Amino acid sequence: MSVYLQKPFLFKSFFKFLIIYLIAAFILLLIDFTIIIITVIYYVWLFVIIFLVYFSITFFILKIKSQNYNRLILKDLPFFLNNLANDLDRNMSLKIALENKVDNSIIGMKVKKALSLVKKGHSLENALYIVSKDSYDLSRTFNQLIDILSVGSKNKATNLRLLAESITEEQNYLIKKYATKLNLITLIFVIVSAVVPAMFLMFLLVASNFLEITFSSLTVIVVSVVLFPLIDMFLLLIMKSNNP
Amino acid sequence: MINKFFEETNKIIESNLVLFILINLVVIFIFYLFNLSILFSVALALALDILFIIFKIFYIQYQFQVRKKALEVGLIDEVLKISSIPKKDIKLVFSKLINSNNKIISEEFLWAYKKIEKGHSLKDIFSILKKKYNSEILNRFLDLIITSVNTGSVSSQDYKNLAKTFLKSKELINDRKSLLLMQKYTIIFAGGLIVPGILGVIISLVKKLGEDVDLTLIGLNASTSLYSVAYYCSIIYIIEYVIISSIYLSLLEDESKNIIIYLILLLPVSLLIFFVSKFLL
Repeated sequence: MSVYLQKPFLFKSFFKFLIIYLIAAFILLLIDFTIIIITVIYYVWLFVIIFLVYFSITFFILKIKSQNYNRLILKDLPFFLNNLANDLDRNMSLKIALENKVDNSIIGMKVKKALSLVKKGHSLENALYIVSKDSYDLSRTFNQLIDILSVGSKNKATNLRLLAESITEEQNYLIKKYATKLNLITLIFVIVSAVVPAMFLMFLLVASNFLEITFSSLTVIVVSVVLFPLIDMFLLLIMKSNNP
Repeated sequence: MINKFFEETNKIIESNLVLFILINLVVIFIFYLFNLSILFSVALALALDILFIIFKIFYIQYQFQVRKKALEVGLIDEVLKISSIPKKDIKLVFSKLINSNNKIISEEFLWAYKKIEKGHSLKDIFSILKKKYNSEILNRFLDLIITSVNTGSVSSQDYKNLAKTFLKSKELINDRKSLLLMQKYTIIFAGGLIVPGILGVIISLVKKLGEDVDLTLIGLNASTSLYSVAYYCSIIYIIEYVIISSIYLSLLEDESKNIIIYLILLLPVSLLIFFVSKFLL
């Protein structure tokens, strides 16, 4: 799990949440004074809803960020491994080959950090392990890289190229797996975003006219202006966080 | 980013000064014809100027993306061609690129060659090109040329490997894009057509039902206040839905600026469909 997912539960996030709650409570208080009387229970519900919504959104946003970060690493990895294989083909040592890979890309920066740790006295294996902690894919690749090089086989470059190919194939598999899920997710999204609100409206108007079931205006407003868009938003966030 | 926006705005104003003056003159003429207030005409002129700048910025960016894509497509072919040169002489590589069938590659590398001939360093010129296009394949290709010049150890196989890895990576990106495209069209279709259409039909259906059936005959009262609450809530829901969809679509494309484009396109269409479908029944 990436380090990004540990962040929503920091003190700063709770502070932000409290500010949002206070603003919402103030708006509710204004409504209470001017339009309709609002009981204390509404403030409790407001707290619960904002708490759930705020931390779910934060969780999803951080998950999406973490995924984007991993995607950038996965995009660079095949190029990195192939370039490394090219250098090893020229009989360069791993350390020099890694020094050649220092650039502005995420992996380039990670390699730079690892090499600086080596200068401080860490072993190369340990340095690569430390810098790749925040990404599962990078850590896995570095482990395999160290393994390939420590075995001392003659075809190191070939093995690295095979590793690059396996990473590409794995991404390909993930895309295909997501494609099979996508149809169902899309269907659910269309039903929830269009059919459910329409059914609710139909039920609401027919039931209030013909069945004499009473609905308060506040319930209608909360359900259709707050609840439905929130459900839509969460569905889209789930879709986005599952994108390969 | 804000600085870049102002830079681009400045450039547009400088290059389209005549057009801006014309727009403002037209607005003043309208003011003269319709006896509009000065404040209104100035506001109208400003709004038109801003609209023109926004469209121009998006048009420039679109043109640049088309150019970048053409360069990337052409570059893969060129890398494969270069990989067949037995000896990697930099002049030979440049002559291949300058004589490329792809106009953009030919133009850019001719410019780079002329600069290098004048004495500029290869690294500096290539970093200008990298900064200009911010293209992954171009960056990697230029890095390979720099390594080739510095170490002299880059082989044909390295160029072939670069093209091969890039083609595989491109294939993955294309697969992902086609998947996201499906999602994108579903959301656009749902936001622009299904959601407002269904809501509009339901609203008009219930209204018709209330009008056609005399509820007082069976001892019931039509709740008109609830109907108007539901009606306005539907409009707000559609607007919210379009905003959420636009944000999501721009997230899919990793382009936050596209929110405005989707909002401009989807909001009027969905509201129009809502009001049109209201009158269908």
